[in-house]
Amino acid sequence: MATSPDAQLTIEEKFLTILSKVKDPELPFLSVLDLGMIRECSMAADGQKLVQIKITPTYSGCPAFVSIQESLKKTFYCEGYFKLDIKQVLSPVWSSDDITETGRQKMKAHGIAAPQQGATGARACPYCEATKIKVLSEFGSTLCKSLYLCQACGMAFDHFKCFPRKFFVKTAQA
Amino acid sequence: MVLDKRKMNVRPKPQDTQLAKSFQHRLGLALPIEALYMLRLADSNLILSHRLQELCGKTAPLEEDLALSNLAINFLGHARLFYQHLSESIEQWKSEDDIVMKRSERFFLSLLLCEQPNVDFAYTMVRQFFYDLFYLELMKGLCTSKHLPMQNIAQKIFPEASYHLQHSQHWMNVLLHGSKESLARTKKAIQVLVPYTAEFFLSDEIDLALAEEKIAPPLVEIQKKWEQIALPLCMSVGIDLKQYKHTIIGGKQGKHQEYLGHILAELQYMQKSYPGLSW
Repeated sequence: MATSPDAQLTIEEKFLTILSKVKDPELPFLSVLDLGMIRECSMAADGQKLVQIKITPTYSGCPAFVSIQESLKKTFYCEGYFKLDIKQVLSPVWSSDDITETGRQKMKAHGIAAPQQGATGARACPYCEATKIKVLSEFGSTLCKSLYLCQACGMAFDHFKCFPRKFFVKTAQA
Repeated sequence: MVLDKRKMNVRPKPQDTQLAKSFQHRLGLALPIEALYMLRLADSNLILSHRLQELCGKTAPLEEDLALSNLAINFLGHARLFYQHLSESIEQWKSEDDIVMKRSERFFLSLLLCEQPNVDFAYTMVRQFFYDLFYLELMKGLCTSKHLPMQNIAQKIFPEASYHLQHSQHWMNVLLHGSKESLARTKKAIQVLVPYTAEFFLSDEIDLALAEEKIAPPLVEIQKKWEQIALPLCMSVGIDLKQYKHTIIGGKQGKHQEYLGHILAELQYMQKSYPGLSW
């Protein structure tokens, strides 16, 4: 029996590869992993090849969330996992701190100022790094973005809104 | 409504509250008080969202048009979080659409403020400011609720709600300290809308019972925090909110003004004409 390179991968690694192919339709260079939306992805112990996924929404009104779930189903189906159990979980609550470092770099490469860890507002222009920037609009083209203008290079750019966890209300469990 | 002291520690059974009774008799739904509480929050968000949607493409500056549309979709998302939980926990409600499309206005428990029309930008912003301030404080309180689903939803909503308040508070300052015209219009809007804020803080048996069980924050505390910000802001231009003694209430009990009927006629038209229609 020929062994494909995939055979050496553990099931978690396979899942990570598949998940990295599921993109946000509004930010098609970011995967659900980059955004930190996947809380859990595992194979059910029942031997039926059922994949259980726990996913958390980024912004509660985000219309892309539905299409992300569809895309999850499609992508897993194409990889041979036909049964998927997707559950929406709200706890622990999503924060912009959950976006990975890779995700932040990808945003910058596409001209979006990534959210800062533990602070609000954009820090610098993603194009020229200048810090002399001003808010054009608190609300941008999608729920997750606000619009800025760089006063050094004159470029308008999107900023991924910051919701740092440290500003959240502490719960008894946390 | 003041409750009998002896009854304070007793959780009202669904059949004990007037509201639950009417849901039981007219719709055949036995709703626990948490569900009625959530329904109030969800309906208020849905109706306010509908009002904001009406402005999509109509606001003069492009930034503001984006902002109001963003707010509308956020409020819809917040309403959906509650409806989703309700549709999972109440057997007769199979889906979110079931909850929204199959009730008449008498069974909508939204706050009266939310259904007030967008007369002009001042009205829209004053309505938004009054509601955002209340909503943020309420969600802050619910973040430590003993009811876990409620707590999770409030945790999700809280950061977004604080973003909303920044926006409306900023606009209130701009309008109140802008031109003579903007001040006059905003004053008028405040005068008309203030009576509706009384309903925010009016505790009925549901609010009292849930506050007692530490599921919801006591509305008296929310009122204090609300007044701490709203009173000085209006006082800065000589408007004393305390002078308006007149109150208009009823939404939380399902007693609405004519506005809601029109909103629902539009919202539910397709489902009423073609029951069960789907894409």
